[in-house]
Amino acid sequence: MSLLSAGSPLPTLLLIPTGIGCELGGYAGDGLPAARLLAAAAGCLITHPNVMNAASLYWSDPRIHYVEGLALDRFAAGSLALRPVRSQRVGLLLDGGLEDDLRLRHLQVADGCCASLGLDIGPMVTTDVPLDVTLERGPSGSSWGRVGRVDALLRSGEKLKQAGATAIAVVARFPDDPGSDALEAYRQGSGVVALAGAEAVISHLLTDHLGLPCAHAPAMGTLPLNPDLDPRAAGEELGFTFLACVLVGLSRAPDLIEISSPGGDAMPGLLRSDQIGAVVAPEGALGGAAVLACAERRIPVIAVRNPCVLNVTAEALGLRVLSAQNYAEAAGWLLALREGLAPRALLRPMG
Amino acid sequence: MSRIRLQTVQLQLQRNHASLRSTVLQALQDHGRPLRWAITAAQGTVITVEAVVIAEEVM
Repeated sequence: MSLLSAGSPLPTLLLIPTGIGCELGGYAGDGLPAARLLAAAAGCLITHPNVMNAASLYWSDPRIHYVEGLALDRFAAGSLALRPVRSQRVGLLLDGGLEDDLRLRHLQVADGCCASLGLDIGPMVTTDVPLDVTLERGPSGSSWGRVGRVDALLRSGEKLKQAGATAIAVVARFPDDPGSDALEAYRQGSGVVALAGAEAVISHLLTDHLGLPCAHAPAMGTLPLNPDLDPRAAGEELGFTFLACVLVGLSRAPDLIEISSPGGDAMPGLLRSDQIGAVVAPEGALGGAAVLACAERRIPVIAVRNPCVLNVTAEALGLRVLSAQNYAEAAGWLLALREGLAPRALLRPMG
Repeated sequence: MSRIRLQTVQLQLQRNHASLRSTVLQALQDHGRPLRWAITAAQGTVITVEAVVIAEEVM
């Protein structure tokens, strides 16, 4: 079957932005069932780690490409291509601020993922000083954050790359926040995940600096049992770390190929931005770099009802989109596009 | 020798004939290299952007 014939895979971007409190996908990897559905509909889905990461829970699907958020933006803009690989050698970057027991927990996750899942993990580097992560909230209510020691983060990333890592999993010590109103709201299913903004900054910095697939797992003390825990937050409370899903995701993350690198555009087997057939995003969060890059190039944008703290809609931005009430409806649009059907032919009155 | 510093930026921009994306990227260039950004509000012809940029300080 030709790559572009009706019914062939339709490379699709799924974006559920980090730290804006999306009703679906704003918690512990609770976007994963939607990702699986859309991957089945499209045959090829490119999405970012926080859609797929559910701490101790994960799902590996060869149709889903796990691409760090900044790299995904650059892919959508056409400056990066993706090269699927059989496996990555995942280097482990540990924050020098981890306490001994927390550090040991993470090393045991790495051992377990090697012994039980067969992942290629190592080398490992510990930062020479604590990374000093702090959490913040932006004016819009979305989660932001800071890394005090960017220099230490990047130095350690460089060491891992020199030692042969082809992807990097970062474990940074995040502030414990037990008993805070924000954390309790999140655990009961009504808040914004406070960690997400700082996580994005860490992985974006490393991806930008090294050009390797990267993802982040926050390290924190365990929380007391909560009998009213929202199911969407439960994935984060099953174990002692958030690392397993990151290692699994990175183990098959595609290589990031700069289009401007020598021969970059001519490599065989690359997934390039001109192959993107659709982008799926929450209807109130259409103002991100990847959605706008796709919209500029008239790639169909499927705007899904998925309430969040933002209200940046197609109407507000002047974009033309296909609207979907939920991800099941979005899957229907993807099937239509994959089959080469004109979307307006499915609407009454016809659009 | 330079040191990398992260800076949070909030901008209110007037939409013009250029694409939204290039309007945002051009405005952020004055503050540093964009690491993370999004339009977080849009009303009429005014858009609000929240961003984290990389600013390099010469030491």
